[in-house]
Amino acid sequence: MAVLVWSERDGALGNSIRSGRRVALSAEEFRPEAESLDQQLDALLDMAWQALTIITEHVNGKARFNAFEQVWVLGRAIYVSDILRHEAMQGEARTLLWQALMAKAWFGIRQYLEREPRWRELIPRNRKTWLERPAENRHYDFLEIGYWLREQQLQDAGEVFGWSFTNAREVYVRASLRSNELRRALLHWLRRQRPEIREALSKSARGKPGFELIPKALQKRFPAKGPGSALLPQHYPEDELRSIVCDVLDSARDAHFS
Amino acid sequence: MDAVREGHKTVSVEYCLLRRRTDAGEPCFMLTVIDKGTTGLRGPIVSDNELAARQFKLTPEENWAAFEAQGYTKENEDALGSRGQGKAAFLYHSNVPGKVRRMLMLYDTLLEDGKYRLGMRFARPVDQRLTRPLEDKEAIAAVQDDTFPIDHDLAVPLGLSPLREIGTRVIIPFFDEEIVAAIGPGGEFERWLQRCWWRAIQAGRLRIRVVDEEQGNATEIEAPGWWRDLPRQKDKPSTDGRWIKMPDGGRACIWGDIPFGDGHQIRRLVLLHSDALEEDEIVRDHPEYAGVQIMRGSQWIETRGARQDFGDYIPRDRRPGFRGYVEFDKQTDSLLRVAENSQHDGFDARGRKGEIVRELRAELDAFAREFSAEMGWEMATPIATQQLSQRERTTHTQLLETFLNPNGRKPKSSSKADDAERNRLLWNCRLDLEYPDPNSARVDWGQSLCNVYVEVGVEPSEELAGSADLILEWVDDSGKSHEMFRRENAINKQWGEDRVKEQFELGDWQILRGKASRERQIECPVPGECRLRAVVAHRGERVKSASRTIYVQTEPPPPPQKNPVTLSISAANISANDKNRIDHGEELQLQINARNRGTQPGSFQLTATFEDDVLARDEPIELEGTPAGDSPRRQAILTERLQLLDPRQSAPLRIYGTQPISMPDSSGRFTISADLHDENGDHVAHASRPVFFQRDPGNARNNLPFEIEQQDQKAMWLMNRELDRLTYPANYPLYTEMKEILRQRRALQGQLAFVAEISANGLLEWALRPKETGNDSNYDQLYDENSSADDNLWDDFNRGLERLSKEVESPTDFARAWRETVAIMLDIFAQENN
Repeated sequence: MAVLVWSERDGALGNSIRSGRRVALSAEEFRPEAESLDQQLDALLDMAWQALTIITEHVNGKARFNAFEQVWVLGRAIYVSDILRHEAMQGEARTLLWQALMAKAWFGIRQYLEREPRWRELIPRNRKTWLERPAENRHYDFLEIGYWLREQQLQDAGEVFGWSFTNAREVYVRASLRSNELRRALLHWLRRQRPEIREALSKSARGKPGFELIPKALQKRFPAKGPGSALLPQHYPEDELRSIVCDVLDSARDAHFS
Repeated sequence: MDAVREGHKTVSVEYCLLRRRTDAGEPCFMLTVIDKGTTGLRGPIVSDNELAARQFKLTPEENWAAFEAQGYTKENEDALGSRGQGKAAFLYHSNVPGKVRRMLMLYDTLLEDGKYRLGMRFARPVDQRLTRPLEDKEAIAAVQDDTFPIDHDLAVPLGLSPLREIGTRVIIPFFDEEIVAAIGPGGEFERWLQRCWWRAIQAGRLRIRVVDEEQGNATEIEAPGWWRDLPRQKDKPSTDGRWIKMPDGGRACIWGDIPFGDGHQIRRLVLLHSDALEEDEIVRDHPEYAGVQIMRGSQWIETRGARQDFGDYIPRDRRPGFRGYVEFDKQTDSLLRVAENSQHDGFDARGRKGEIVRELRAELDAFAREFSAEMGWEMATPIATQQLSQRERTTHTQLLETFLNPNGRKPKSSSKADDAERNRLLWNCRLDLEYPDPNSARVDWGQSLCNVYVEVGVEPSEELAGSADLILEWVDDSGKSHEMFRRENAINKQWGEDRVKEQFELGDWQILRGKASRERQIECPVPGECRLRAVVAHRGERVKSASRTIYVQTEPPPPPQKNPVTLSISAANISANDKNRIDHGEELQLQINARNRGTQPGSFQLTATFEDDVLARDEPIELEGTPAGDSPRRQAILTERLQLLDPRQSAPLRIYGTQPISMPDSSGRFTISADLHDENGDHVAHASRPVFFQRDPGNARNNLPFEIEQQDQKAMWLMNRELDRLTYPANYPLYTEMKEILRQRRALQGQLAFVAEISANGLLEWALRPKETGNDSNYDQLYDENSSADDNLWDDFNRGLERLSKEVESPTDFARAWRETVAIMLDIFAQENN
């Protein structure tokens, strides 16, 4: 199947149908399904925007957007809307949906071509490289991360990653550390740390020990490939995983904060 | 059409629907099928006992006996399709009135010598027929009579005219009323006949008429409109294709004499598209015209669907107007028939016999793609892949297929392709023995190899014709083999068993320097690396062998220090054997194997996972040791059957005996991983293997592990880090100096020889590089412990792989072993593909 992707050229808006199939065809044949998906994205973006307005901090009456919250809201909305089960997404990779979703949010085009400028607020400020290279999947990694974070409540996810999108990405790029089980164990360990340690661990300050020591230490224990990679965090019972995570991170902490 | 009479070009078949009344006065239908221009049902009447005594074999002339019997084979004919399926189809359409479902058919025939016969078959509850058919006047009278009494409860209304022309008539009384409606003009019945036989009709070999006697309708089946004129184009079509404009604005392309696969040939391939054509399908999910019809002997067998199979190349709005057909030379026709199912409505693409079908499908795929590109439907392929010629790509594919196949078994020599029986059998052979020192493969003069034991298996057992011999031979240090023992007709089929399994205890064999004076002594005057080999010979051919290495009076090399224990994972889609991808609801069979090259047995712990599922955690495993110098044996340590489920789709029917696994996503590349630890918890081996769920491995269209491409680079060839892309430079001096091959006569020729050599090198690297981390998964696909060849080349290839997998003393030694193995691979490739 395929998705409808909006674009702008010389000030004029247009759209095209894109399919991620092995051999590129004129994907126009899937336009009806793609248009139906496009209509459902309206509701998804509305839902995400409503949620964002509730959680965003306001300073002097002005919204102060946080990239971590923005991606979590998008991921959660995708999950709740069940959009990935839409028939247009049958047999398609998620990245195609990211292309459609971001272009739609950026150009703010509703059904019947009504404009919706507010949706732009959903896109993190420095996550716009996809505008120049819309077909390259790597520019949409923030949406992948948002979708990955969907499994946790915002508060729990925020505590684990210190409300930092960069910290979340540090874990996400290590494929063996992506399980929700590990994030729960990590939260368990973090909640037992002294406030100053937690404060230091939530930041990623250059030259000082920060959040990155957590993914680095965990990846040594859970390599993504090669020897020792068969048993990943999600394969352990909860108690055993907590104990492993505590051992690994206690020694990493002691090595850096002694 | 097989029974066409000499001097006649055309066979005529007439389907005639008649109305009759039963004894009770109820209306009923009768269908007669009369063929003319045939020989009639010739030959003697063969009783059941006589047929059994002849081992269910009939000669081609024994048509009457063949028509009456079930479950026989005819000599000089391919076995499939000669088992009474056609008769059964007639029978199933009769529905004798009564509480129990009963079926009945009669058949009469007029022969060249004036003889007339009438026979009858009655099925359900018991299958029975007239023990002696009625003959001549008696038969004619019975046919003409108003009723033909079967028993005191049932009489069949006949009242037919006797046959006046030589031929046969099948009479189906009490013809199923539900089907009568389909027989009307333009009905489903005529449409099916057209689909199946239009090509034979067009070629003038067959005429089919459908007559409804009471309604007065008579229809002659014709070729569909779009094909009517096209194949009659003058001039022989070329292999490059000839494009034709259709009167309705459509376009067609005709190709002729296209070689494919291992010496097979497409006689004619025609693809056509016209917007004026509308979809004409009876069963929507089963393609009939919408796609490329594969015709075997002018009969439609299967259609590669425009949507199902070429959906990637043909846009949805073009599919209704897309048509095609392909037909073959006689030799290819007969090979296709071996892979055809007995209902003549599909091919089995699995295993060795299905190889031709897989090759054909890949070929059709390429032509559909070319057609699509020419029609402007498909975007141009990237430049990098365009530079590589189709012949080079085919050579690469052939080389990889020679050494890898989906069943993990080596293909057998294709030089004697006429022996279809042999191709269907899968043989297994295992050779066990005890060395004097259990830790070493060294045997000194005077010492014995004890308890030599051979196990031979073959499946499917019902296909085994005759028996097979077991041969034990000694291969000395120079590679010369000496037969020591032969047991003729040792492997026989046992009725009622799924597979044949024979075990042979061959006792102790003493190695001597001098002359052997009694049985079970082996003369081996020269010390060195020798082999004891068990060979299975079936119908004069060596079909399988197994061997063990023996160092006579010589110290074998020590076991490797690095990675003495290795793991490998094999994973196959057993729901669809010719496919690498696994779709929702299909079954994955996975097996984890280990090899212990150390001399001592060991206890280990296995952990294996498939994404979020744990298949084994710290499972205790015992691995036997390998005597120094002997080839390590692959030991299966975990076998699982998994049914993979898409979390976004509704649950399919469960496959019995499988473990359902919900995949983390609806499509992607997922990994099976395994780790082995020793008793101290130290890691000793690791293996992983990708599984492509609802997604094709983009780089390997033909289920092959890596693709070949041209790229700017210095090295003659390079294999990328992911082991899925082999590249070579188009300006490599040796390559540019070699001739470009336009007409290929031999497998190794000009630039194709260059491609074969780098493909062989790539294949070795693909197999050996993962071994650096103890991962044998790729190596196991290349190395077959039970080599199956009728010469020593495959054995030499296995020895070469073993040498490369052992620790070698210097890089120079390793490079030499590598070069030698590549040379053996090229020899095998030439032998198998010339």
